[in-house]
Amino acid sequence: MYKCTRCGDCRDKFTDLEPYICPAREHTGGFEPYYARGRIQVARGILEGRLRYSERLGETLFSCFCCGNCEKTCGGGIESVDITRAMRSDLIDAGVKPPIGIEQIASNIARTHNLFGSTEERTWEEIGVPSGGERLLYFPGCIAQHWLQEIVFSTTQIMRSAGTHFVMPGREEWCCGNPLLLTGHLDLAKEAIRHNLALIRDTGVSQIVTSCPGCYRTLKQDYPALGRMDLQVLHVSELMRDLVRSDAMEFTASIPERVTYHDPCELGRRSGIFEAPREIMSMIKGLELVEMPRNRKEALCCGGGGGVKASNPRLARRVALERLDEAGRLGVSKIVTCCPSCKMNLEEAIVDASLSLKVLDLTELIAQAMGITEERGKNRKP
Amino acid sequence: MGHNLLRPLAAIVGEEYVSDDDFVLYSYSRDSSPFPERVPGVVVRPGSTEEVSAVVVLANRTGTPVIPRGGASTVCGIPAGEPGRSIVLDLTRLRDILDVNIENMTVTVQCGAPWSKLYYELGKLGLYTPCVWFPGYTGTVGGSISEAGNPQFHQEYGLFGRHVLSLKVVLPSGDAVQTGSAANAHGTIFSRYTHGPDLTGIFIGDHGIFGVKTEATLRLFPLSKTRYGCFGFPDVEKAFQALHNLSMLQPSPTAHTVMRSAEAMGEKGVDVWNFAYCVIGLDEEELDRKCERVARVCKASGGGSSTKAGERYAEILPRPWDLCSKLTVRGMTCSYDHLMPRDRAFAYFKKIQEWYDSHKQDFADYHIGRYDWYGFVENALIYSPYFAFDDSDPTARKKALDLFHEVLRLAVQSGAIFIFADQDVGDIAASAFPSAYFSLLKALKRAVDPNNIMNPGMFRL
Repeated sequence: MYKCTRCGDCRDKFTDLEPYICPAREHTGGFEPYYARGRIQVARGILEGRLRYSERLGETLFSCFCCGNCEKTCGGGIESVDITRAMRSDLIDAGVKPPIGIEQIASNIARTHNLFGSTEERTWEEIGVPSGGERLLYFPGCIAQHWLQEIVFSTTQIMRSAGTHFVMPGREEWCCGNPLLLTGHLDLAKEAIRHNLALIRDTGVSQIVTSCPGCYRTLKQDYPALGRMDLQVLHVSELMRDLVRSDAMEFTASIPERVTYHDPCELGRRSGIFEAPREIMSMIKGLELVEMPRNRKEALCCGGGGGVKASNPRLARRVALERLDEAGRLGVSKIVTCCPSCKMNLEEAIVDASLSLKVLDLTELIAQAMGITEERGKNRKP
Repeated sequence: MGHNLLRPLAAIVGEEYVSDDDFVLYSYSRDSSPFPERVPGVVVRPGSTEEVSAVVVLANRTGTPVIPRGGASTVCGIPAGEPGRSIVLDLTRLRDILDVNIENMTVTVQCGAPWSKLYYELGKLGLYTPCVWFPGYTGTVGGSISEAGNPQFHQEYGLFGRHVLSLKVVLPSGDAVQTGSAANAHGTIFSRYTHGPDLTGIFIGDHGIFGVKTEATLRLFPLSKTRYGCFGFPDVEKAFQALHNLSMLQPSPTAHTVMRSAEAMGEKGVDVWNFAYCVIGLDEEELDRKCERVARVCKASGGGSSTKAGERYAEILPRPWDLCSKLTVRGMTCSYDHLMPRDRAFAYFKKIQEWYDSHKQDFADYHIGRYDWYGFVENALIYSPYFAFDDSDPTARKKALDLFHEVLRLAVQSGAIFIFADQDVGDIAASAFPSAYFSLLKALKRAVDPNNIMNPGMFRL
């Protein structure tokens, strides 16, 4: 924190690619604490006893998308997302109420071990009945598991079709802890992580694959800090790329469409996976992939990151609409992404704004290209 | 207790763009320097000249100090105003490019626009205007003009002010005035000079004491090709000699030069002084010719291969925006640029070296790094002392500031001109104002700003 020279590169780094750095600053009143430089100054004020946490400050802290674009531009290597996470946690420890949506996330997970507070009995065992000796654990993540179940169906169908044996934890899968870490609920996060670590160890698998970039980054970066993880963590796009490369998957159907790809922040900028999804799409017959001006490291957040969808849905919507506008200008009919959270936020903005765009998870596109057209699992809650 | 003007300000700019939350105010209490924090009373982000005008009228009526603010990446201390009461005008919503006139070769831009935006947008049209080179991403057009700083390619284009043709300024009365050729009510903006005094000049380097700049019209140039290089010198005097000799050539072959030790460029224990340069030209032939001249002068002064850090530094010179993020010394710094005329430059340079020698132990004891750089602009040496330290250590911070004040006083007493100053450096600069000069400045300030609401205290006014 004390390395910050307040140069402001995290605010205005206007280039051919990016007209601004921080979506929170751009779509709010834009005062200094809405982006990294000002927020770090506030953190310093708190640390030095000049400021105290308040609900108003909480609103500002929870408007950060944790997209990491500021970290990308910072020459000083300041980890501002971690600073924001720590401030959120301190705020809660100080007894200050976070925005109501954030409390809801924590209480849902505490009560039901998933983001949505869903208590429905899942029957995933029917999809991946373990035959014993599976080396791969499929960990869909809360959003795919409880909301966008089409992602789970397409993923499992592809894996089965490719001859990949896997096991799913079903109701034993708890939230990975990512939303808790992002929203400052460290104790709950540790509890979830410890549970999942034990679960993973019990299955005896050597690989874990997830549909969710948030789960992916947390499994890969946060879990090892809390317990031994002797297994390989994969995002589903990496697994699918490997299956394509090894000819285990065959794209039989042509998809003569113009689509664009939205890089999820947690998968791209924060985990460095940019090319795997693109490589897969380049192999689909007839598919034309056109890039948005802000792509890969420069990609704009979908608006759903950092818990903002829960804390400030209006802000999340504004950013989503900007991203959709960027895609719409390319004349595409569909946006492909690899993140259930991005899909959820973009889809809801599309519905609200009555746009004609459609958002597809990469696995849905792959299933279509493999000729697996069956649509199952559309079981969204109102 | 909220600020007493919160509601009327919200009525002007909208509730979303005014705040007196303690954490917001605190985040506006510093610039990019270790100088003391100064917490304002309320922050406003106006979206038009009209809104700026209405805020200033309100401030004037209530006698509330106004602190205009651009990118706040200055290094000379945040204006004092009246802590707890001042209105900070955060001008960064005013960031549109309003007009590019290719026939008259002018660009009109809102003053809160970051230079990087102007640079990239003009570049698409094959055009250029001398832009601030450090920190180019954050620095705003208005902020740089208020500071009269040195732009990228300063040896080619000179100081900033030369290319400012006209300004739209909201005066403390709330009236917006357009300077330059707009003095003719029937005319347009195309020239700095008009039938009367150069009123544009009064606002260049004024640090916001005379009004709030909302629009600037700048001179345009064709976008040049660039080439860069670097020579290494075994000792600082030889490097300095080469730099000086090059600056004497008319026209100067170099557009931008930076002399810095390899150690200050991050190569510990390497006893080489690097001289990085950039030349600009409209075609390859011109670049060839200029590079040959640079090489001749440098070799004659004992220049040879540079270090790797020197090469990396030179590579960045044509892309000023990357200097901050790629080459900046890590950690908080005390730095400022000042000018010393060429005929006094070497003696001053020696004096500075002696001062450093006499304080060597202080720098070592408090782990304060030295990263000075030198160059030439127009007819003067441009020199920036640059101390870096661990900002989490209050004793190191205090020592660095004490040393910095000493070197600032040495500069002033040696006849240096600060091309940017702000509150803390400006205070030291003002200590050397001759009384007649200070009286004129005070009279001008009183005439334009009788209630002294604009940046009160700046330059001891």
